[in-house]
Amino acid sequence: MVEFKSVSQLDNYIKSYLTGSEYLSDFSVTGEISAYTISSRGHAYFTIKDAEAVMGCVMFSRYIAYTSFTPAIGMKVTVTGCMDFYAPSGKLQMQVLTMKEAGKGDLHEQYKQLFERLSKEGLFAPEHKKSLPVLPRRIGVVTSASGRVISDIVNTLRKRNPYFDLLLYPASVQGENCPPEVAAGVRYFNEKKNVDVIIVARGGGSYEDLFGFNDERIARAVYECEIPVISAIGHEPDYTIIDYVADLRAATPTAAAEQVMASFDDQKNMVDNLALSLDIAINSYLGAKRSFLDMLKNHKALLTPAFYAKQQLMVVDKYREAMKNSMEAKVTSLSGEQKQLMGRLESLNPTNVLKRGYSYVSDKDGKAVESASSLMKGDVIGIVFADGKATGEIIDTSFDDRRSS
Amino acid sequence: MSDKIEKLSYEEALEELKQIVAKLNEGKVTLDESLQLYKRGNELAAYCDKKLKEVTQKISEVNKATGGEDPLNIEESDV
Repeated sequence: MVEFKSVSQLDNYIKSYLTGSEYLSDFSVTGEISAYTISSRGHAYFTIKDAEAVMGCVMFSRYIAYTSFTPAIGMKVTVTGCMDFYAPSGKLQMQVLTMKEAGKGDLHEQYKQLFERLSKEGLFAPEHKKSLPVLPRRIGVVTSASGRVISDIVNTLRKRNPYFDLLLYPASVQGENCPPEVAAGVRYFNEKKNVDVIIVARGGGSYEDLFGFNDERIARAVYECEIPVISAIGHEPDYTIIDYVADLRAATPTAAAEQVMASFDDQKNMVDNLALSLDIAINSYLGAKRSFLDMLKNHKALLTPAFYAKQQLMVVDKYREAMKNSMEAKVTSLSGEQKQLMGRLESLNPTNVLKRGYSYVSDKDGKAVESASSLMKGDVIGIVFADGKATGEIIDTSFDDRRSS
Repeated sequence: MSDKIEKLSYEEALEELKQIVAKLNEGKVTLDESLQLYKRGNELAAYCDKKLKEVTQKISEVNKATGGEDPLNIEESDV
């Protein structure tokens, strides 16, 4: 039998025994948290248990800082560390170095599974996305009440345009409370319908810090929300599930505020431009009327009526000329047969006979005399030549026997 | 066209203003009509401008305990 000289010596032996143990110096175990307190120095004291047994644990603050979630009673966790004997209180306890939620695999694996499931279900469908309001009068924001994000958003909005109202729904943006609180915030605005657009925002952080936004509860709340939702989680390269469900994804909270105001600015510019266009339109309308009136007043017809009349005469002349031309065209288009007929008519013209040295006698009325018997002594006759006429008096008449026999 | 302007939504007023500008530009209206259109257009523009600024400029926070809204003070700062 070993005889320990003191309690301290016994405790020291236990400590060294534990440290030297292959199993108890580096192990992991899974259990349910049954008690949990944080000391004034930031260390966590808690117990884990199963159906039959309990084990006390301590986790120092420097290790807690690396935990991606906030432990709570009832949560099933897997812890790693070593056994330690705390001499001042004579208690055996586990010194915990890392802690993660049991049953949950690798975070990225979780993310991928959720992404695929929600994508298949159509939560990311572009046709489901709503456009931002034309006039964002009242802006709902779901984010932490403390921290820079909300002031960044308000100040960016103010810088762009002072005409807005803002309603903040304070929510945890990290840890296990993040998904239910953010989802509640989105649903709150959707039920109250007291804002025109919702910004869900969080500042930058580690992959684990932002992981709360890879949550089905948030995704569904955003999907079901009838008010447009802008997501702004972390910085430019960070993408979480909410970014795919949201109607618009902004790179940062500040960018989200800019986006909201962009549509306001567009409207403001449109109204200003239309007011200007209205002035220009009425001025050019009246200007056109005035110059038309001036044109009429200066018209030559009003200044000199004679000018107008002369113009009309020129029109008449023009038509007359046209008529003459068309008649000539008709004549030249006479057929060859007509031309021959006209030539024969010409050969019968008596004037042509006279040209050959003949002449004829006409009575006092100018009618051709065909018979000597129609003349008597003393009658005045005309003798018609080709180039003129002579007047004479009948001295005697005689008849040609040959003709009468 | 002859609706009371106050009864129009912002979008409706903006649309009518656009049409008035287009009509005036086309120039196929009588002088009387053009002056009527101009007057109406000016009223619509003023109304749209008013609608844009029709907010109380209040920053508030949802009070989860009371269900009401509390004012939220945000310091102006350089962003």
